[in-house]
Amino acid sequence: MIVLIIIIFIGVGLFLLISSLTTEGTEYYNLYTHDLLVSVMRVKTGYKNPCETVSDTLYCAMTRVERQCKYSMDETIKKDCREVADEVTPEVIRKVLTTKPSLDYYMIIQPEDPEHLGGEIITYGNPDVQNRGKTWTANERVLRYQTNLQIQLILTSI
Amino acid sequence: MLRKGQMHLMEYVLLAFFILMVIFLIIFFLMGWNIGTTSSRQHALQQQRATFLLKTFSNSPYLNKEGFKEGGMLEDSKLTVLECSDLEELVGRGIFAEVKIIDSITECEQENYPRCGVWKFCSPGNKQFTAYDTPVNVYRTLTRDVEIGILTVGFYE
Repeated sequence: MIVLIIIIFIGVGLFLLISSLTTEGTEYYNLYTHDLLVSVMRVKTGYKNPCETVSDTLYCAMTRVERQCKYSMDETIKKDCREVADEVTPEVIRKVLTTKPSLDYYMIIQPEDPEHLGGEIITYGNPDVQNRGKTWTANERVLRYQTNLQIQLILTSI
Repeated sequence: MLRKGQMHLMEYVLLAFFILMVIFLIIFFLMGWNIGTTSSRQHALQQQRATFLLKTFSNSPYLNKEGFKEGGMLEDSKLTVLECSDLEELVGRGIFAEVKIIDSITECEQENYPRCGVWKFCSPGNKQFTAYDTPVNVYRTLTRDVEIGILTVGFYE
């Protein structure tokens, strides 16, 4: 009898405890992830067309493989779109995330149509982030004539 | 017979004592849980308020570059002329804000614009405050450059 009473009380207590658990900070971190992705995409790289912004550079890196970009301050410096993308994108994200050292990221850039461009994907950051328990994800589309790009940014707590 | 009776009595006394102990433990547990959820609800409300402030500031048409209805593209010239009273009109009193371009340290005033990258509004001083931040873009009006920065908004008692 006493065991039954104890079991009932423990059951009620557990029910109350579980119902009080909430996902803390989801709205804030979703906002942060979205703002980080959008802000990074809009940043000017310091290079000229077709590498003017990060999103332009990623598009060029995916679609116009042999195209080169001139550095604005010194036009003798020329780099492939992919080189500029690899140089600028992770650096910008890294600098922003120095203000949030508890966060890690993974970014995936791919064409909207996977069969287009041989299904190539560009990634930056730590791929293990995808397998972490609690993650926040933001998605953006870069709309262009030849093909659209899908860009996904995943953040997680370290 | 008497011993059996005594034993039964002892059993009931122990049972009652045990039940009372369990009831008190449950009461203490529920009190602690109540305090815990109140504190976590307060934290959740603070985060909601901070998220609202971040969205209000970063999406404000008074601060964004024209054509960026989606927000998040603050114009440096507009930030430089913004004052604490303007911010209070926008989001109310007891709020402070800061926009800092990554790698910038110079606080902006009209005299040193545009060679600066930090804007501060309604500084909290020594008061206790709660602050949250989010990435934003800052459009440099004169050079037409787009940089990335951190918008921090907070509130204090």
